[in-house]
Order: sequence, then C-alpha cells, then structure tokens
Amino acid sequence: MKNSKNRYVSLVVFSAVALSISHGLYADTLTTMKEELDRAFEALQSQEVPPYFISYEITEDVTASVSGGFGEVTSESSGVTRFLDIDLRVGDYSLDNTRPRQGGGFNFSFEPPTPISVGNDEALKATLWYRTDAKYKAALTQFTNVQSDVQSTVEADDKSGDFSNAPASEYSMDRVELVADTSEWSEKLRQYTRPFAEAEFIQDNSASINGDVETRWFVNTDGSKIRVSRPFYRMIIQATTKADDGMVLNLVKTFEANSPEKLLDDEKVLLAVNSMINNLEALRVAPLVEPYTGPAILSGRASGVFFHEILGHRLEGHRQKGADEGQTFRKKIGQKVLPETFSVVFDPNIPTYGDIELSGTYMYDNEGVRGQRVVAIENGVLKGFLMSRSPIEGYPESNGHGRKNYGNSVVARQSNLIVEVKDAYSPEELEAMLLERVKEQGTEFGLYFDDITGGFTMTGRTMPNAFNVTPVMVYRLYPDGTKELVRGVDLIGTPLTTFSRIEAGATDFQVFNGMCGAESGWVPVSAVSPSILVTQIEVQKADSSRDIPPILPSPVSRPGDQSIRYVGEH
Amino acid sequence: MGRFRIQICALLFASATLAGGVHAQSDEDDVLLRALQDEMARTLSDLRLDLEPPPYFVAYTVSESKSTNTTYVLGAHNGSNESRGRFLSVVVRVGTPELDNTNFTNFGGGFFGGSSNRVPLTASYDELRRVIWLATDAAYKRAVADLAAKKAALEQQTISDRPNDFSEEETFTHMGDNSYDALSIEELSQIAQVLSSAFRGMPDLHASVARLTSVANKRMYLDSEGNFSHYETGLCTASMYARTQTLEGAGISDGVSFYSRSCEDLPAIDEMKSSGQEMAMRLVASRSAEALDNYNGPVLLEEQAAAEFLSQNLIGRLGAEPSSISNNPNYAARQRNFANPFLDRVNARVFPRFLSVVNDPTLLEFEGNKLLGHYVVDNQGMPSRRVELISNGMLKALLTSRSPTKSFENSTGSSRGSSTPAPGNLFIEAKEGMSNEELNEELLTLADEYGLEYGLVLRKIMNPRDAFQDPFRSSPFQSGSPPALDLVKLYPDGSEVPVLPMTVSNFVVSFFKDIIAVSEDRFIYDVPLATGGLNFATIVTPSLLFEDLSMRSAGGAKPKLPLFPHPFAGEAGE
Repeated sequence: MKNSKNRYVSLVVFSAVALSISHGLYADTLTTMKEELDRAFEALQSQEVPPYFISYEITEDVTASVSGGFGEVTSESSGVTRFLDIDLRVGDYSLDNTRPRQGGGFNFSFEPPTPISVGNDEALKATLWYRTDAKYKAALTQFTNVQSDVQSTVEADDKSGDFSNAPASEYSMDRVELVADTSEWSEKLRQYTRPFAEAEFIQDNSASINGDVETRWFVNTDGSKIRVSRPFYRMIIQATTKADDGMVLNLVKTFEANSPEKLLDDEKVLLAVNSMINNLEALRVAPLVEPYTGPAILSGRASGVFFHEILGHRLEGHRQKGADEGQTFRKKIGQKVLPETFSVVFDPNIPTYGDIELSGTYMYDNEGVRGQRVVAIENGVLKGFLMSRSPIEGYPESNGHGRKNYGNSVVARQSNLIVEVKDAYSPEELEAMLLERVKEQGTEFGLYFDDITGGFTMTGRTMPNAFNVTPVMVYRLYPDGTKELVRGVDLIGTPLTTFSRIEAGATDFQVFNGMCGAESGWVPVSAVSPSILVTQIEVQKADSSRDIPPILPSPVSRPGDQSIRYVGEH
Repeated sequence: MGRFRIQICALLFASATLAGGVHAQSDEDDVLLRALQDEMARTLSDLRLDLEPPPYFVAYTVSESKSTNTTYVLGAHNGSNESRGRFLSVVVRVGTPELDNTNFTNFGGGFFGGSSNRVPLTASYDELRRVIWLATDAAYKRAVADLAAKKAALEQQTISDRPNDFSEEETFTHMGDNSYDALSIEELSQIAQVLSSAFRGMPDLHASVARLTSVANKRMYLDSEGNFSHYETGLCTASMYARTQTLEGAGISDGVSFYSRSCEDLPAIDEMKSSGQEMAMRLVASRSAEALDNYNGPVLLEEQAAAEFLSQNLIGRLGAEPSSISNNPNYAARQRNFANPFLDRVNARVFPRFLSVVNDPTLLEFEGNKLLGHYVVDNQGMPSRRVELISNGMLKALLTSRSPTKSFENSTGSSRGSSTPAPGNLFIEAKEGMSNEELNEELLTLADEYGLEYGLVLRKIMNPRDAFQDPFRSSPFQSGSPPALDLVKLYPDGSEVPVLPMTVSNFVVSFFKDIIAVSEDRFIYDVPLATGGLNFATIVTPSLLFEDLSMRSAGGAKPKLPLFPHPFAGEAGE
C-alpha cells in the first residue's frame, strides 16, 4: 500500500490541527451564553405562562481513538463534537412541566442532541435563540399535560415539588487540551496486544485507546456561570477464547487515567495482559458451575460493582418518588440496612484512592451544583439519598449529584461510591470465616468472586426488583483450602435479602472504575470497596453461545500450534 | 432561470487487463493479495463441514477508507471527525449456480446483516490470514445454514421457472492507476467556514449549516473465478442547508450540494458560496409565497427538478433482481406488493415514443463535463457496460447483477452496493426537443386546454439527502416525498408568481408516458446512490413537460413563528 505511511502521518498531524481549531475560541462563550439567556428569559416573561427557570449547557468532546488487536492497528479516528442542552421550566418550583406523568402515560420524547457552534456570537446566539423558542413551546405542551395528569390521578405519596432552589455558582476552569499522539498510541496498542497473537487459544482480541476531553459551559437564570474541563483517557482490552463445549469465554480489562502517560504504563498493562491470557487458558478447562446457594466472598472489585448496582442505584433520589419505581429505601431512613460496621459514602470531590484515579470525580454536576460528599449509610443505618435539583420529601435540596450525558435530562446519579468498614478483617481471616460458614451450612464449598465485568439492576415495579452481575473469575473454596476456578456464572438476587446477608468486610480495598448507563445516559463512576463476606448468595448458569469452533485450523503458524479446535484434545 | 449546473467530475480510470495473473500495486498490497489468495485456496480445497456441500464460489473485498468531515454554522466550527479503517467482506456460496444459499431471506437463521470485519491497516500477513480465516469460516457456516433452510422452504412452495441463483460470466481484471487522499480537516475547514458564512446576516433563517466531507477509498476485489479488481476512488462533498418557516408557520428548507471525486475539482469557493446565498435568498423570499392547496394539470419540470424527479421515481425501477425466496410467507407476500412494476413491462411501452433511456457508465465525460456515474467495474468484479434500457418508449432491458431473473440471465455490471442493480450514467435521449420558450408556450397551451389561467413550473425538487444536513431535524430519519421548493405559476403574459412548496402526489410509473415534450438542452445531475456512499449515478436529462400531474401543498404542521426576535434581527450581520 504505497500511501499508507503518508496517510498515517497526516492523521497524527490532523489531531493537532483539529485541536488548534477547537482551541482558543471560547474566551467569551460563557458571557455570550448568559447574554442570550437573559434576553430570552426577559422576552418570554411577556407570555401568558412565562418560564421561571432556564439553563443552557454546552458539552464539547474532543476525542481521539486507536483500535486494533492481535498486535495490529485496524482503525484510527478523532473528532470534535459540541451539543447544547436546555432545561426550560414553566409553572413554578412546586409543579412544572418536567413532572413525570403519574397516570401511566408514556413519557417517550426522544430528541436528537442539538449541535451548536462556538466561535462567534452570531452562530452561538442564533442556535440558543431558536432552540429556546422550540423548548419553550414544547414546555407549554408538557405543562398542560402535567396539569391534566395532576387533575386526573390520585395525589402522590411524596408531595415534594418538582425543582429546588440552589445557590448560584461562578467557576471557570481552564480548558484542558487533549494530548493525543496517535502514532505512539498505535505502537503501544501493537505492543500490548501482541501477546494475544502468540497465545494459540485466543480466538478474538480487540483493544482501543481512547482520549476524551469533555468541556462544559453552563449558565442558568439563577446566575450560575460555570466552565469545567476534564480529560479522560481510557484503554479497553478484550480477549475471547472458546471452551471445548463451545462456551465463549470473554475477559475485559479497562484502564482509566487523566493523562496518556499514566494510562500507558507498560509494566502494569503487560502484567494485566499476561494475567488475562493465563486466566483465559485456565477458564477454558475450568468446570462449568451448577446453580448454587451458599456463602461467598466478593473481592473488592466485585463488591464495588455489587454495591454500585444493588445499593447505589436504589439510593438515587428520583427513584424514591417515581410512581413506577420500586422505592426500595424510601421508608427506610433511620433503619439498619447493612451491618453496623459498614458505612457507604458518595464523594465526587476525591480525585484518587491511593494512587488510582477515580472516574466518578467532578466539581460541578450538570445542574451547576457543587458536588458534595453524601453519607448515605452510616454504621449500617440509612441516612440519605443522592439528590439532583428534583426534591423528595425530607430532602429539599440538591447535593450535587444531578448528572447526565448530553441529550438527556438530569436525574440523580452516583459519583465515587466508597464502602467504609470498621473492625475489618484481613483477607485471610475473611477466607477462614467463609470456610466456617461452609461447614455451618453444610455446603461442599464456598465461592470466591475475584472479578466482575459489570451487571445490571432493575429498580422498577413492573419487573422483578432484582439484580444480575456478571462475574468472570470465580473460584470454589473447599474446606481443605484448595481453590478451583469455575466458569459460566451469573450472580443474581434481590437487594434487601442480599444486604441482610452481608456479614463482614476486609481491609483490602480495591477500585472499580467504569461507565454507568441509566436514563440520563452514560456517566463515569467509581466504586471503592473491600472484600466482603456474604453468608448466602445465589448463582445461576450464564447464557452462552454454543457455536462450534472454526472448521479449519488457524492459518497462522506458531510453535506448537495445532488449531483452536484441537487444542483441547491434547 | 439561468442554467445552473451541478459540478461533475470523475477521474480517469485506466482499465488494464493483466496477462499472467494478477498482482497488486505495492509491496503492502502484495501482502494483502497473497493473504487473500492463500486463504481462498485453502478454503476451496479444505473448508467443509461433514455432510454439507463445500463452497463453490468465494469472493473477498477489502475496502480501506479514510474520511474527514467538518461542519460549520455561520462561520463557526460546529464539529469534525476523521477516521481511517480497513474492512473485509466475504461472500461464500454453497450448492450450485442453479441453486445456492443466496436470494433467500432466512427468518429462522438468527443472523441478520452481512459480514464485515476489520483488518489491519498494515501489511501483516499472519494477522490478515487470521481475520480472513475466521470471516470465511463464519460466512461458510451461515451459507450452509441458509442453503438448508432455503431447500426446506422450496419444498413447501410452488415456484415456476425459478431462475438460477448465479450467472456464468467471463472473468474480468481491472487495475486502477489513480490515487486519492482525503483532505485534512484544516483544509476542509477553510472551505466550510466560508460557505457557512453565506448565511450570516440573514435572521429570517432559523438554522443553517455547511458541511464538507472528503473520502478516499482503496478497494481490492478477488473471487474464486479469477475476477480481480484493484483501484482507488474518492469523493469530496460540499453541502449547504438552511431552514425557515413561512409566514403561516410551515417549515421550509432547502439545500445545495457539490460533488467531485477530488476536492480540487469542486467549483471555486466563491461560486459555491454564491449558490448557497442564492438558495437562502430564494428560501427567505418564498416565506411569503402564495399557497396553493392542490393543482391538476400540465407541469413543466425544469433542469434540476426533472433530474431529481427521475432520481426519485425512475432510478429504482431500472434494476432487475430476482424475487427472494423466504421461509416467511408474510414476507413473500409483502415483497410481491413492492415488486418493481417494470419487471412485467419488458417489451412494453413505458415512456413516450420520442424518448429513449441509455445507461452508459463507461463514459468519462459528456460535452466536456466529467461524469460521476462513470465506473469501470462493479461490486461483483464485473465490467460496466452500455445498456439501452428504453428504446423509443419501449422497455428493452433492465440492469442486472449476477443474480439472474426470469428475463435476464447475465450481469450488466450494475451491482453497486445495494440489493437493487443501479445505473451509472443515465441518459434521457429525445428525438427532438424544444427551446425553453417553446416549452413554456406548450405548457400554457395545455393549461388553457385544462381551463387553467396558468401552468405550473417546477425548478427545484428537494434532494432528500440534503434534508439529512438539517442540524435540528426532529428525527434521525425523514419520511415522505420531498417537496418541490422552487415552483411558480406561469401566466400567458410571461409573469411568474411563486408558490409555496408542493409535492407531486400519487405518481405511478405509467405517468411517464404523459411526458409530451422535452427541452433541447440537457441538464447534468449527480445522485449519490446511498447516503455517505461513493457510488453515484449521473442523470443527463432534458426538462420534462408532463401533460397531467397532480400536485398538492406540502402541508404538514404549521407551528407558531418564533415568539421573540432573532438576536441579530435588524442588524446588518457580517
């Protein structure tokens, strides 16, 4: 391919060019936004039903990405996007157009995000003007529907209003530049994924290195003017093998950092790659799990996901008053929900845990409210919820957890979840306690969940109020101390029952960074948790493909290579 | 209206038949070709499931693409993107050419969509082999499953004269000798910024955008019959779009796009900007145009309107594809309802006797203008060729791929990325044409016969692809017939009265026979065959006078006008 080198170089150059285009244009963006906000707000006051609140938020993402696998790069991309979100409210704080319908009406209102340009007043103001007008007209229709809904349905249990007051904030952070040397990223990606090409049993391998600087400009009619900018670098490495029975076994390892230097730590990454390869090799021949009920230990990473899915989502404020929500914890304030040695806090202000950067860190949420530390559970007792500016009874104010991805409406979301344990045990002591429970319950073994890739939970009323998390490295722990890796496990259960069975925590805190998807889109979150002992958990067999392996052997000759199909027969 | 011509450009491809087998253009291409050939050889000799037929045909296409795009609004940067990737698609046929796994829609197979696989950007023989191996394995397994399901479905159906599934063709080899590269974001931005500023100082516009896109594509095709092609192509697109509301509130919008294979061949920036400004001024002027609820009578489609009308109503009818067999009876019934009406009209009259239609993708130029519809080889490795489709009003042939139909056994080299074969350069040829003045007179004479005081002239029909430029479209997908945007009532005294957008309603292909006169001049118009794709058709057509068309108001909701003024209303703007 005669031009490939030139093209490659041009891509690297482009990254710099794209950044220079998007840099240095924004000195007056906040001022321009505020001018148009004030003009629109004032102009619409003459309407019969005027708005009582408007906010504008512009989200810019400058991104770069390199993808590939098996020691090769297959694609490169980079880009800049800017989108506008408008929150416009008519009515008043007690009842406005944003109230979810209680009468069972379907609230679907998909609207593609609004692209917006910055760089000159005319472009910026013209879009703000046109979209504000459209948003106002839509708000009037929504408000009429809300008023009708209120008339035709029984009064809600929670009589709190639709919007809370919040102090105005002014803050302007310097805009961060994306550092994207895609040439170096490509070389790193080749280096990190080459070992997978040398492992004969790896059927699929993909990896990507992504950089994203998100800059947000926010103004509202309360007087807030905020600009925040945050770099986010992420690497995802995935590898797949297939057991002899056709079960697809997949491991994913993610790395996050706020700079490419910290992300691309050769020693750390290659150690993880080696571990993935070894684990996949072991998983291929591991026995299939059978449905099981009994004691288990969840490692720090596993329990982090566990608490995020099962506890964290149920502490999000709006879920305490939505008519369709299960409202698991609404009436449990002041009650014991975890062992008294356990506390759970959410704190978006902590940038790192040890030397690990936390993804759920931010200064201001998407409603311009300063992110605050929230003690949700103290000594096992439920104390509070994560709040946006949508109040609930007893919690009239936001604690800075109103979050969203652009194009979505804000709801309360998690930040950095931190599980704190008093009187913690060493990991060895916890393991000994597990084996005691094994004996007491008469089970053959206990389970040790070492790693979990993610999971989901259902918090509504129309579906079972249950969770399902996906462990990838699970061991049987036998009373004689032996450990046996198993495969094909899903961890399932219902929240209150499972919490009541948490017995103890260890001293070995671990961090799980990830992206959390919910009704307000994808937001970065973290969970910091120690290993925990649960006296009884339930696992079921995981769903899996049973496709046969490739018919022909691999064409790639490696020492000792036979084929994916025949490896298991040796 | 002066003759406005969309920029046409095609690079000159040199067709070369290689003696002594195929080879690629560079060392890296050679590695790719060797990997494809080696894995194909192994596939044909060894790939087989017990008790199942082996492949009888294998084709690989590797497409490497680099694209850049940027969007500006009123002179300000909105967004941009650059990407580069390389993809492999695999076709595996099992069975025989008489009955194989294709032309079958399997509702029980659990797999939807084609097979496209990312392949390394660099010349890594081992990794290329690995990707090709796994992609071929997956394609073969699907083919085997589809053939079994197809045979089962056929046992339950009575299909008379079922054509073969795959045609026999002579092998073809093509090596392109042009190279393309995508323009940098910075270079595109310089153009986009200027074009978007065409709309500055126009507060009556509610939204506007300019978008520049540059794509360079390198393609290698190889199949087990010996067909081989390797060439590069490119596309540069400059689009401008604006929207506003009529004084009654109806949304109206318009767009203008310029296409060329290389950005260097786009018209001068000032020329494009002027076109955008003209479009915007026309749009603003039409806010207060007269509303006409409906109209039945003679309609003159001038230049762009004629070409776009043919793009929307004729191009899709010119391809012949076999009826797909399915194991879902409802699907088969629905497919019959949407069958191409021209399939049953071969050797019947479909156009007036004075018109003929020819597809000739082999032509590089027409009257000094480069034709974007030119291509040498289609997606199945078949050479493009001239086909006389309609002769003196009689439908003589349709365009085909290698999937035979009852009427057509062989490929016309028209497989162009969609399921339906599509034209390249489509020429509407008339035995005689009129001057514009004569056409107007003819229109007015007909109008008089219909008892009308005026005749309707359409000068611009919205290109539905331009609607996708709308930055504030409420849905990712627009539906409905695109309206005629620029239309006027023409009165006998020569005066013209602009009319708000209308759509041609209830048009069926038999109405083409109602064309009673055409212009002597022809208009050249490029049409992308799929949004974002590189395949184009170029329509070369005269203006068309229909004796009788039904038009009705584009209608739709009439939301209130903005409740407060544009922030720059009353200012001179830039």
